[in-house]
Amino acid sequence: MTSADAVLAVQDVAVSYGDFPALSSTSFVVQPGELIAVVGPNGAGKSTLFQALAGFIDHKGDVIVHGEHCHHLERQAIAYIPQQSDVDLRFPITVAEVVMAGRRRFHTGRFRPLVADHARVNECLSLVDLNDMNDRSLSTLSGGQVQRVLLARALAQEADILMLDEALSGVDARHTEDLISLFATLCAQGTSILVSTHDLHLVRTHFNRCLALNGRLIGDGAPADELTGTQLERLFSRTTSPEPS
Amino acid sequence: MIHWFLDPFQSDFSQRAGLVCLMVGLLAPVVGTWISLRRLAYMGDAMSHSLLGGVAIGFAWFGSAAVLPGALVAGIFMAITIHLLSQNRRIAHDSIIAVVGSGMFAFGVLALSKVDTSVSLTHFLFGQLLTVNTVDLWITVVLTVASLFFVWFKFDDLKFATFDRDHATQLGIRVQRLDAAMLILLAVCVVVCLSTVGTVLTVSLLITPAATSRLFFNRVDAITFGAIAVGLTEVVLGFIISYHANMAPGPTITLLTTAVFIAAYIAQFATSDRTYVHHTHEHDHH
Repeated sequence: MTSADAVLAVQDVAVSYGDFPALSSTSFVVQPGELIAVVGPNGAGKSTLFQALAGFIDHKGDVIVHGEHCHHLERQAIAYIPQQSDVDLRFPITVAEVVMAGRRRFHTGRFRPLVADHARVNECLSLVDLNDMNDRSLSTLSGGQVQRVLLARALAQEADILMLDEALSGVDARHTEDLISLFATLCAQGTSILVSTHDLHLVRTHFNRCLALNGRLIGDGAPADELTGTQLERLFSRTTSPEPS
Repeated sequence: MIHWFLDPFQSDFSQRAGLVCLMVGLLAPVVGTWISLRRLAYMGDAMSHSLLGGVAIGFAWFGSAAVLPGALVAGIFMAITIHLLSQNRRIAHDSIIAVVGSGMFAFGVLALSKVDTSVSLTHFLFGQLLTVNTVDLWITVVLTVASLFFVWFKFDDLKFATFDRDHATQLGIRVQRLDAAMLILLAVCVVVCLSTVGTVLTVSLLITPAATSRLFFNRVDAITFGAIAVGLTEVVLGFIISYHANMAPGPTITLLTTAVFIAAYIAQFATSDRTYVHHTHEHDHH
């Protein structure tokens, strides 16, 4: 496949917080159905990259979805699953209500969920193994369960690209396997998935592509090539700080 | 017994006061629910104090009929000012509220001291329920109905934007506009409460019924309806008690809301199964 077939093309995206360059010029292309790991040390810019692509923060460069340049407010084809610390867990909301938020993009004016929306919410909760938890308050769930609720919301959004920020942290071994299996199913259906993670073993065994990030894109390729001793030393070295963008 | 409830509503002015109580009892808990969820309780307090300037200028230039419109202009002015100043992320939101709120309150106190009025400052500080005129009543009704319609129409967007602001933005919800609308809604609500409990005690009607309802419910819609039930009962009952006990309605209503909250807090604490999961100590149920 060529870049013309790409579901997402990132061209020279760079982010600065004031004078601090959080992410230097970064470019890559994502094809439909790819499962991509984004690795790098803390502060490498993984969350910044995801938030820029989702349109949450200002950035330089272009984000092209399905061949079209996307304004910040037109990126509903990209679903971002944040680290759970980014969500207000004390907010009085049920599991079903959170997932229903994903259906909002299909409605204009006053949001009135239809029968089909409720059915889709149930389906998405079933996919993440949270059946019968519709009416549970989010504040009563564990960290791993909250992650799966947010994933169900992204599924309800029917986005072409899912970006999961540390989504596998706090998830137990069985549910990690279940989620990886779900990722494979979604990728087979054409959804592209980017997952930031510190679990390099998981990347080596379950992902077919890896973006190595430390303030800038250091590597992009198969995990077997990008996670070698030399590459890892370079990736986690402090000398790879971002260049001014 | 029935006379105990109906006696306070025999005269025209007390009937107007009763209708204002109904409006306040409907609107304040609804707006208060969102103010609490958005952690804007301090904003409610500051805004209620900041309306004094508008009250004074409205009264000085156009007479008593302009008190509520003057307060409304002051409230909307404060809402827009805070919304604009909040765009600068270097200054914390509550600092901006403090700067604007205290400045407007000081202006209001000075303005009232210069206005030649037979109406005491305490009427504005603690309410003037029994002096509500027909114009005030109509303003209150229109503002209440419009505000409730707005919340009903935007309920889900408010919920999504308050829970996860970034995601709501991505869904196409104009969160900045909602922020501004919420501040204006708060200003409207404070104006509606002005005649009932005055500027000093308005925050009690905004926050306390919503906080009481929050003790028992875990959904925004349930909290809202619970707050309405609690708030409406407290406002009307407080007014009746104040009539029979010959006390000022504003402080009586406020004291009742506080007493009900404390009783509800104790009842909830005594009956709670305490299953809340503390996310600082993460664990999976499986």
